[in-house]
Amino acid sequence: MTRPLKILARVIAYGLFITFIVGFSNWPTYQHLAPDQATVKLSFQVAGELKQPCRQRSAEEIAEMAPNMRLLDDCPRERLPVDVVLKLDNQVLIDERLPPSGLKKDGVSVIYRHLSVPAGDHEVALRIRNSAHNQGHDIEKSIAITLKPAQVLVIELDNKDGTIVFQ
Amino acid sequence: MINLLQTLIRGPFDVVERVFSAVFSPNANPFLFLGTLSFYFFWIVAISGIYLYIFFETSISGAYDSIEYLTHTQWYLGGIMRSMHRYASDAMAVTVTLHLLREFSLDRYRGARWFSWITGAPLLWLLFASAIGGYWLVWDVLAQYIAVTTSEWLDWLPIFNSPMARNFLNEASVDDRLFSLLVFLHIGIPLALLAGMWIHIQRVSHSKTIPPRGLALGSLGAFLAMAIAKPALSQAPANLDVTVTNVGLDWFYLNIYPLFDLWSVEGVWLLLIAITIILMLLPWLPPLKKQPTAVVDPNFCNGCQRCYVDCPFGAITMKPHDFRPGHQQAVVNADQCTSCGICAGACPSSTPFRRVDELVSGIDLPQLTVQTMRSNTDDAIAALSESPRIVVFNCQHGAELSTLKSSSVALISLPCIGMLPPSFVDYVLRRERVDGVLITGCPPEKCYHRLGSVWTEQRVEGTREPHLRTKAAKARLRIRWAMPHEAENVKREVRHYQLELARDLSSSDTEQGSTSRD
Repeated sequence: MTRPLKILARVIAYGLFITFIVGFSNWPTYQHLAPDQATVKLSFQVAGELKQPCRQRSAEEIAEMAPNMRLLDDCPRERLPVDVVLKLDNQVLIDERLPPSGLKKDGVSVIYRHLSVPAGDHEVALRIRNSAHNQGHDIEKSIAITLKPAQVLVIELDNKDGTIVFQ
Repeated sequence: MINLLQTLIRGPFDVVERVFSAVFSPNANPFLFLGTLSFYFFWIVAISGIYLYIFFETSISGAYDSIEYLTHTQWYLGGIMRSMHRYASDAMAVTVTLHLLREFSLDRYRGARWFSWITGAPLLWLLFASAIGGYWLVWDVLAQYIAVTTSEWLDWLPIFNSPMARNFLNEASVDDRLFSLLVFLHIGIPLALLAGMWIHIQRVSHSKTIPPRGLALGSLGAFLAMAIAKPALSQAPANLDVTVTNVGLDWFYLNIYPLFDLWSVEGVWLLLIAITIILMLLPWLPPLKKQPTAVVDPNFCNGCQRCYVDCPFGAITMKPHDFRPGHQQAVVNADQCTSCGICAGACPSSTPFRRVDELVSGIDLPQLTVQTMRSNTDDAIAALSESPRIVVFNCQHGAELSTLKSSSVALISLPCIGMLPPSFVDYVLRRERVDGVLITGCPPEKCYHRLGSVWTEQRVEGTREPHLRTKAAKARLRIRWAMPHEAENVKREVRHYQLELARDLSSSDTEQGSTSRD
């Protein structure tokens, strides 16, 4: 290979290298969400009620305990799971039972889900039950909303006053 | 299966390497310096990153603005640095991937080499984590897309008390402290990567971490050209109240992300964990049959350190001699020894001229001692009956030449051509026992044992001990490197060499005849 030919070949090689790196570093673009879709994010953490109520220990039970451990009330730490139902236009999107966190199952129940939904007018309803009642929900709220394309609707729980927040 | 895969990968590499060697010369062929270039690109990324860090503001609004300032207001330096930071990172992903594929295709990852392979696998995770963290810092829509997807990805691991993705619910969820954490990670992970790269080459002696000057300047110039032609730019500022719809991806590092829209998070984890486990297990799928390793005989080891210097895998160390005060002695670490025999080829006592009943070298391979090499060579030469007679010393990892043996060609096979002490060439040519010698083995850039062919060339040229002893030997010696599939080229070379020798012999016979008539 002659020297001018070598130089030309090197220029071509570097040109290909530049094109390859710049090309795949920028293109093609990726369509993550269709243009007519919006996103609903459901996320909260809430503590279920204690699985068993506190009870008073008997005098015999207290006598059997070490002196420094003698507490009048016996309060089991385990909490109940939390049931959550999210509906969009009366269609169930999420229906889950969230277990309490922690090795002793005494922590809060946590959820994070994101869903793609068509943009437009919707009725969104969230129901949460964190107690042992067999019927109905402890917290529930529904709203009518118009979702713009790509809008993010965040559904959270305000733990201070226990209300559901749509934002 | 593995062999087939290696052949399929090696084929394209062979073609591309041949073309690039013709264009750049083998001394500056980028495909022969893939690991070296990865180190070099890392330093470009590190130096440009340090410059960018000086101007980077670790806050939600400051992050994007400070990078915009660098890109547009200070385009002549900050913008160039940003682009080089990005494109050198991308190039590093390419060289690292090609390096992995090439070493796999050349079967240079099993046996004693498991350490370099295994330590390379976690580096892939660290490299990708470093790059992904960098994109996060820009805090544009790409960063937003990565932040949300990565946090949802990591939330699958049962290590977070509260989902990490809750930090990116909407604009109100993010705070400035996050950027301090991200900067810390974007410095810490690359430092861990550098430490891992250092560990990766610990069992590879004479490793090259600085590329040839031409290649270094050429690639630096290429990054500069990229920075000018297509500067790295931010996309629109992040806004967590709006979902990212269309986003420009860096496909070198973010190629896994679209999978999250197609598969479940579990599926992506399964894929990545499976790839990592297969990579880690490869050196034992199947394991390389362990050969007896080199053995030192203190009676003949004079502590010259040649084997210690020449071992390509750092398997030899020196210690005080067992019974010669003030002298040193070689020690072989069997776990690191690949049984290549390069140490025996380097040993000054591995000379066939020694007049002893039992030829013992200071360091020797039990399965092919220097004594056995000498007797095999003597036997093979004795069996030659036709002129011109040639001895071919070949490496078992180079071209397959068993059919080359004939009444005029003797073939001596070695585990690596670097095992051949040059004195063997002088030995077979003395008293005109043979007319010529041909040395063949894997090409230096693809030497199975890394440095066997390089050391042999240097020993023949006289720039590395031990040297050829006579000028006559140099004149009657040919070297022809060849890959396993290039056996025909070697055979053709042998035939041509024999024809040349035959011409030389007949002309010298004629000269002798005319001299005697005079």
